[in-house]
Amino acid sequence: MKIGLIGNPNVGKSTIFNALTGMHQHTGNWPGKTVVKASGVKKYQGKTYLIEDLPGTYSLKAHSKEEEVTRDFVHSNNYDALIVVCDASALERNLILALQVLNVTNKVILCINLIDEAKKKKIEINYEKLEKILKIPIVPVIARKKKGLDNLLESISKINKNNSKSKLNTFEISNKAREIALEVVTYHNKDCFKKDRIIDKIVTSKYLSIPIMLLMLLFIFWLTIVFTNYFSDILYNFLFSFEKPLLNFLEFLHIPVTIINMLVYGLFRVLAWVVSVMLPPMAIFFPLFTLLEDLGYLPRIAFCLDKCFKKCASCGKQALTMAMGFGCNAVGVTGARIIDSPRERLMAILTNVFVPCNGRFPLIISMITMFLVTTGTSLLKALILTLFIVLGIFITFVVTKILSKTLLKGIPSSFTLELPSYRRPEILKIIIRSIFDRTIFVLKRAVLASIPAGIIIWLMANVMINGNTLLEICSNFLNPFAKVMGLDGVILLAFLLAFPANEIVIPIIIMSYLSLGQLIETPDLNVLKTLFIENGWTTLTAINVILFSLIHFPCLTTVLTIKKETGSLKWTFLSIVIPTITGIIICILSTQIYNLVM
Amino acid sequence: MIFMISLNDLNLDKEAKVIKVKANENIKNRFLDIGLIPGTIIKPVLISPGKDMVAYMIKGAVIAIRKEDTENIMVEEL
Repeated sequence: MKIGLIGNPNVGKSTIFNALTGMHQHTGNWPGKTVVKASGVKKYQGKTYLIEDLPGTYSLKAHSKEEEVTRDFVHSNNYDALIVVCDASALERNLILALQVLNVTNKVILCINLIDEAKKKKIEINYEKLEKILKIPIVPVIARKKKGLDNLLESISKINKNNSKSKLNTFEISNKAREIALEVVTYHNKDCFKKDRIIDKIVTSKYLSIPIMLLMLLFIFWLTIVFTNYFSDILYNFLFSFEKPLLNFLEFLHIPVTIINMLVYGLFRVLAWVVSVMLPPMAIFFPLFTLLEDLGYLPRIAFCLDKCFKKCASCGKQALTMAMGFGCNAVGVTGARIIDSPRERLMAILTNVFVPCNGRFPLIISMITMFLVTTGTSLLKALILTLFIVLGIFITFVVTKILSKTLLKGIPSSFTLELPSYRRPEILKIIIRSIFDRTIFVLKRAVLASIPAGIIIWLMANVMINGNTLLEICSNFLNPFAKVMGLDGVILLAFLLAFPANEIVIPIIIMSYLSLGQLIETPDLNVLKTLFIENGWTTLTAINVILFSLIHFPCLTTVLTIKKETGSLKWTFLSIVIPTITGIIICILSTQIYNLVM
Repeated sequence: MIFMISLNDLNLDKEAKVIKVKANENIKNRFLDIGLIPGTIIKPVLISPGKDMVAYMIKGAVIAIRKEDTENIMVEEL
C-alpha cells in the first residue's frame, strides 16, 4: 500500500509521518520545513504501508520548486490513498487544497490535525457533517500526542472508489470551501487568536523587534557558552582517563612503540580534543535553536527583516534559509526552494555560507574563549559571538545587494508568508531528538573526517622532498599569502584540507603543529592555547581564524548540494569563489586595521 | 452602492470584504491559493517594523503580503 501525505505548509504532515513510521524527519513550526519527499514504512495489522511525506503546498498549481514535487505526485496516481492533512484552526483555507485534490483523484482521506489547538481556541468542527458533504473519510487526530493515527490507516479501507471526481474550477473551489466551512465550523470565541496577536505586536514592533531578535540570539549563545565551559573540561578529563588503559593495552599487545605513540599521542589525543571542544556547544546550541523553530518565531523574523531584504532586491524568506544554515548550510541551500523567484533563490543559495553552521560554531566559540575573552564572563563571550554572527548577516546583505546589482539583476518579486500560531514546544523531545539526529551526526562526521585527515597530515609530515617535509613545503608556500591575511600557512592549509568537513579545521591545525615538532607533555585543554601561542598566534590570528571560518568557501557537502540545486557549474563555481574572495578581503582588512590600532 | 477602498488604506483590525483583485498573474495565483478572492473576509492584523508588509487574517490563517502587491485589491469595509 502506498500512501501520500499532502497538505498546506505547517499543518503537521511530518509529525504524522514520524508518528506513523517511527522515523525522525525534522519538524518545526514554520512553513517550508519539508522541501523534499521522504518515505517510510509502517506495518499495521499485517499490512505494510509505504508512506510518503510530501512538501507542503497551498495548491496543486505549483509556483515554487518544492511544490512541483507534490503536484507531480498527486497527478502520478501512483498511490493507494492520499491523506490530505488539515489544520483544524484554518479549515476553510485547507479545504481549498482538499477540493483541488478531489478534482484529480477520489482516493482521498481528510485528516484534521491539531484539534487540541483548535479546542483551545474554542473552534468546533462537525466531523459527521463534513463527512456527509465531502463523501470521504474524515479522521480527526492530534499527531503530536499520537492520537487517532490508527484510525487513519483503518479508514483507508473506507475509501469509496466509486465516487466520481469533482470538476470544479478555481473560483467554485474557493466558494465551496467557504460554504463548507460556514456549515461545519463554529467559532465559540471570536477573539481566539488574541494571545498570538499580542505576542506578535511586541515581537514585530518598530523599536523592539530587532533588540528582541538580538537578545534571543545572545541568550542562546550565552547558554551555549556556559554549558560549554562546564562540560568541555568534564568531558576532556573523562576521555583522558582512557589514555593510560589504552596505552597499557597496546603495550600488552606488543605493538611497536612508534605506532603506539602515533595512535595514542597522535590520533587518540586529537580525537579527545575534538570531541570535548565540539560536542558541548553542539549538544546545547542545536536543541535551543530547534526550540525557537518549534515555537513559531522564525517566520516573524522573516516578516521583520523583509524590508532589509527588499532593499537588496531579495525577500524575507531568505531569513528562513539563513536560519536553516545555522544547523547546516547544505540544508539551508536545499531549503531555498521555498523561495519562488529563481533569482532570489540563487542569491539565498550563494550567500547561505555566511551563516556559520553547527560544524563551525565550536571553532568560533573556542577561539573566543582561548584568545578574545580569557578572563571575562560567559555573557561577554556570548556578546562577542553575537557580534561576529551579526557581521555575517551584514555581509549577507552586502553580498546579496552586490549580486542584485551585477550578476543577478532584477527587482524584488512578490511572495506570501504565513505566520503560524505559536505552539508550545515539546522540550524533552526536542533535546533528545536534536542530540541523536544532529549532534551525533555532525560529531561522527568530524571524527570520521579527522582520521583520514590525520593520516594525510602524518604522511605530509613524513614525506621528505629535498630535506623538507611535504607539510613544511606546503605551509611555507602558503605562508607569505597567509601572513597578509593575518594567518599562517598551516591555518590556510587546514582550511583547504578541511574542505570535506568544516568541523576539522582545528584538529588539522593541531595535528600539523604537533607534527612540526612541538610535543605536548600534559594532557590539558588549556595546553591547546599554549600550542597555538608557541606557533606564533596572537589575538589577531584568532580574530582572523574566526573571520575566515565565518566567511570562506562552503564545505564539500554544501558545494555538492549547490550543484544539485542549481544544476549549473557556473553558479557552483561562483558559490565557492564569492565567499572565498570576500573572506580574503575581510581578513586583509582586519589585519591592516589591527596593525594600525595596536 | 458599494464604497470600495484599496486594501492598503484599510485600518488595522478592521474587517473588510474583498471586492476586486487586480494583480499580475503570478501573485494572483498565489492569492487564489490562500483564498484571497472576491467575497473573502480579510482583516489586517499586523504591520512589519519596516512598514513594507502587512499580515492579514484570511480564513483562519495569518498571511503576510507586501504592500505593493495588495495595492490593487479593492475591499469594502464591514
